[in-house]
Formats: sequence, C-alpha cells, structure tokens
Amino acid sequence: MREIRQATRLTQVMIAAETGLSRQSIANIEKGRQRFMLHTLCDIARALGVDPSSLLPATNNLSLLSVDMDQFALSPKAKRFVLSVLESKLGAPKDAKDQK
Amino acid sequence: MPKTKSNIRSLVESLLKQASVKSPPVPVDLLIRRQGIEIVRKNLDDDTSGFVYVDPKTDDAVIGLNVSHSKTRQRFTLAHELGHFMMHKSSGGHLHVDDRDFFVRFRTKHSREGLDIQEIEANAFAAELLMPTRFLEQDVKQIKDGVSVSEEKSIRIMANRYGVSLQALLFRLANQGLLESSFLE
Repeated sequence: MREIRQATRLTQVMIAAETGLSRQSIANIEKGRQRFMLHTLCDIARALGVDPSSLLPATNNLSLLSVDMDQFALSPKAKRFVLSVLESKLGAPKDAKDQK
Repeated sequence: MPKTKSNIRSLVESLLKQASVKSPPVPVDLLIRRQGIEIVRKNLDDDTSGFVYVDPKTDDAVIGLNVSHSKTRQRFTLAHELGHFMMHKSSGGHLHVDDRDFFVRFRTKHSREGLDIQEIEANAFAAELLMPTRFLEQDVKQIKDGVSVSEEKSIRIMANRYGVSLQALLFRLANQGLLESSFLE
C-alpha cells in the first residue's frame, strides 16, 4: 500500500482525508499494525485509484473462497456467516499475526 | 483413508499429552489455539454451528463459531471442527461448514460418500476429545458393572464436569460399553 501511495505521490494525510480515517490509522494500516474492515480497504483502494485486490497479499482468499463456496449448498445465512468471519480475518494483515 | 477408532484415540491422546491435559474439562479453546488456529465467534440466528477454513496458500486456519447455540454445543462444534482440521485438511485449501446436527450437512456434489465418512470421523474425534476414553474409564471404575439407572444424578454431575450435554455423555458411555443396558430402555 505504501509503495502504491508513494508512486501516486499521495500523502497519508490525503488518504486520511479521502477515507475519513485518521492519519495515524493510515500509518498503522501501512505498517500492518491495525485491523480494519473490508470496506476500509475498499475506501483506501478508491483513494489510491487502484483495485482493492492489489492491496492484498499475493493470495486473494476471498476469490478462492467464492469458487469453493459455490460447491456447497449453503443457506444464505450460512454463506453470510462464513464470509463475514473470513472478511474479518482478511482484515488482519498477515504480519500483524507474527507480531503477537 | 478412513480413520479407525484407535487412530482417532491415539491422535487425541497425543494432543492431550502435549498440552498436559490430565482431567476434564478438556480446554478445547486452548488446544485449538495451540494448532495456530484462530477462533472467530459470531452470534448467528441459524442452524449453522460453525466451520473451519484452511487457507490454500498459507495453511492458516480459522474456525467460525456460532455462539447463539448452547455452551456444550459450542464446545462440541469446536472439537468437531478441530477434528476436521487434524484429519481432513488437504493441500489446496479446505472449507468445511457444519449445521446443528452434523448429519444433514452441506456437502459437495462430488464426494458425498467421502464427506459422510469425514463427518462421522469428526464426531468421533469430538467425542474422544471432550470425553477421553481414559478419563471416562477412571470415572466409571469405582462403579462396578457400569453406571446404573439410579446414578442419573451422578451422570448429570459428570456431564457438567466434562462440559458436555447429558445426551452426549449418555451416548458416549453407551458407545464405550460403560453404561448398564437398562439405562437405555
């Protein structure tokens, strides 16, 4: 995310203004120190003018998942449950876990 | 490859040994975290009990748990999902969603039979984990010829101690031949 931001010559303050988050939050998210919701990821992507998936680690779990999900006869509620849990997990940057 | 009862029992025994669990209730949360699995709890008005997801790339796993169900049900669900994780995760990721009774489950179109076996195995794993054979045998030892009808109260106390439902304990005891047959009539 930082690489993209610097490449587009945007500052953390500018991203913060676009997304309604504090500059500190943007800094923390860039460092992988802060969990955030999926919609925040989308807001940041929009502020940067990139696709949200480009901000994710190499694997996009959710897209892989939706392929898997289609094989299951899940009720809409069950599907929302699975997705909401996995989205919250996706919001935790990979390296945040290592810092625990 | 289907797992035998003794496969499952030794798998559970090694998990309990590693975590130095010597008496009930078995700390199923702790055992799950020891495997590096994150538990995410959600309140869901639905029959879905929980699921386990293993990331195909990183092997990171997450268990989703529906906390609207009873505490004993939640423990069983966690143990069941850990069973899937220990026994059924394959390369290329894994998603396993379970509903309330683990019998009418969400299955893929392709491997219906294989998944039935996996459910049975995950249930056997959960029963063994929450009510380990060794612990039960120790408990029932004092009572000769199994637990008798008059012992309903003691079975309730025992179920509380193991953190399982009365029904689950009775089923388990009967399965292990530790229950007087008259109790089931």
